Amino acid sequence: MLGKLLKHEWKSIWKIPTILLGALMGLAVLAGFGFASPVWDSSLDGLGVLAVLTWMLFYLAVLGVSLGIMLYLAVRFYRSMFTDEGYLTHTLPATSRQLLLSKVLIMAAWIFLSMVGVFASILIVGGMAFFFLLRQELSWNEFGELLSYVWQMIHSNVGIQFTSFLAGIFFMLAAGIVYGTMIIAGSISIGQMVHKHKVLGSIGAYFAINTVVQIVSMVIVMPMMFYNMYNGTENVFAILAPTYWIMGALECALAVGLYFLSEYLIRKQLNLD
Amino acid sequence: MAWNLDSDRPIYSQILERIQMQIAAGIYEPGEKIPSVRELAADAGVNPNTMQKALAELERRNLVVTLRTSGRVVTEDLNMIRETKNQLAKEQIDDFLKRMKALGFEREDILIMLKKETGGESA
Amino acid sequence: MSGLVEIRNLTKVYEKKRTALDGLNLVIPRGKIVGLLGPNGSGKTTLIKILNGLLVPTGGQVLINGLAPGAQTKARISYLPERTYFQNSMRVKELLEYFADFYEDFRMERAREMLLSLHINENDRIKTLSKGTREKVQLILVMSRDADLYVLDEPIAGVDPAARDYIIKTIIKNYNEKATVLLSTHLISDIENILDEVIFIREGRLLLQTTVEEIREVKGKSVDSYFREVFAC
Repeated sequence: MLGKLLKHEWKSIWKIPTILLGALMGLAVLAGFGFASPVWDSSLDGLGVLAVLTWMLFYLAVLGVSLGIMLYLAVRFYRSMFTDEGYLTHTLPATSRQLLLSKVLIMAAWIFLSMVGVFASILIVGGMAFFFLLRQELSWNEFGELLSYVWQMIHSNVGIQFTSFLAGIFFMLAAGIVYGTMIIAGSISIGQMVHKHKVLGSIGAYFAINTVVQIVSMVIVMPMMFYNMYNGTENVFAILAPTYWIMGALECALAVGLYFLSEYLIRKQLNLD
Repeated sequence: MAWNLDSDRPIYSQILERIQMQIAAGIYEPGEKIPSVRELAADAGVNPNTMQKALAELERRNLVVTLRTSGRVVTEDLNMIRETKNQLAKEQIDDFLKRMKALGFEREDILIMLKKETGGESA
Repeated sequence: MSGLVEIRNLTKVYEKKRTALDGLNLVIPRGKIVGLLGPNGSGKTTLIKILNGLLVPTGGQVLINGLAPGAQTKARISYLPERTYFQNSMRVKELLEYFADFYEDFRMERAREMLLSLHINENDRIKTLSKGTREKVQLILVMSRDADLYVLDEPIAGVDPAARDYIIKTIIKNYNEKATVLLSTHLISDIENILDEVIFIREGRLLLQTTVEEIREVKGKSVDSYFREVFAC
């Protein structure tokens, strides 16, 4: 049953985020060509203005696309669970757990994909800029040497800490996906309890949860930062890495809590209009 | 809805009468296949269980027979059909007479009026 | 054999102490078309939602085929809510696949035949269909299942006479003979001829459960006029 639910959930969601990410990639390539020599060199005539415009547009798109996808996922979750569509969703021969799991897994997958997409689009622009700007000065060999030099610089400067810093970042990103999914699903599941104002309730629940989390993480993280600074740790990665781990763990714990709360609310407190 | 049924009389007896009437009038010819319970019920807009009961009663009265090959058909026993027709006619006449009497007509008056109405010469 | 649906002492109290069901006891038999009748706010929709697992009762018990509402009972109940529940961007064809995938008792051929007879194109998107057509598509999907229990909430409310006849015919022609059809309505005169039994509920309690023929024979009245008498203000 979970497999069927996942399949149909995927089918009902994939189009819009794919279009948005596709558009972002297209824009990234356009913005990248803005760095190509004929465009770049012609500084402020028509082509140059166009290049600057595509960069600005790309910048806005990077901000907008992931936000747009999140919003779309939230709306789909809300509509399929708590509006008229819910009459079909909740009378499928599935348990509340299967229903909720299928929704949050697909949501998490798309949040992940949108992060990958945004990251890839930035790489495209950065890579193209790097390529077009340096290509004029350097040969392929010199280009490769430059890259390895940059890598060694980072590595020798921060040493072993860098790896654990990277691992910390990845863990926090993963935790962020899980948490990002569950704060959407959780706030909407809580918000639907406010009859007649389900959307407002959801938005309210979202801000309430967010505020509490901000305060709690401040309370936990601040003392650590001060401790590290007081002890004279100069390496910024050494300060940041454990913070990321702790933040990530906190988000995971919260996501699990929100999951079980949502499941309980859907099973016991569902009340479609 | 195709079948106009009275709302204050049992549906069962109304559909029974109606099919009986259709057989007597030859709308369903002798030996003709009768639609399935479900189709008849859908057509009449009545409950299939009630329709089933009515058909079972017609079967009990030998107006309808169930053949192994072709399902329910109207009986080919013409005497049986004629008898039913006469029976229904008698019911109509009894009913008519009862109402005429209620209006205060005597037997003689009724006969005279009937002849006049049906184009016969007056007595 | 025991009833298809057994309801014992069922209670539902909403927030602000609004009581919708108040110790309802009811057995719904198998193989019947049953009318669930009662004035607005009598608890019809609450009962229907509980049967379908859309609402959790405050107290009491509901058993369908001996099971409490859940994934297993949902597999055997075909439910027509008052609302249309489609995701509007879906095509009719996709909906058919959706139903076929989730409900083992869904009969694709039957659904296709009915859609064809209404000239509904399977490639049409739901949002391009009129409100009346959407409602018919939903009825076709619901009646294309060979369920044990069909729960139809106000199936003929707000439709024109031609659509009403279509709906009634579709129900009669397609329901699984061994199944029960539970049908709530306030338009009793339009539908009483197709009922075996009627259940009158008032203020969340059972007032009367009897057969249509019983009312007509004993009271010499239509269910509609009897209902008006019982619920006269």
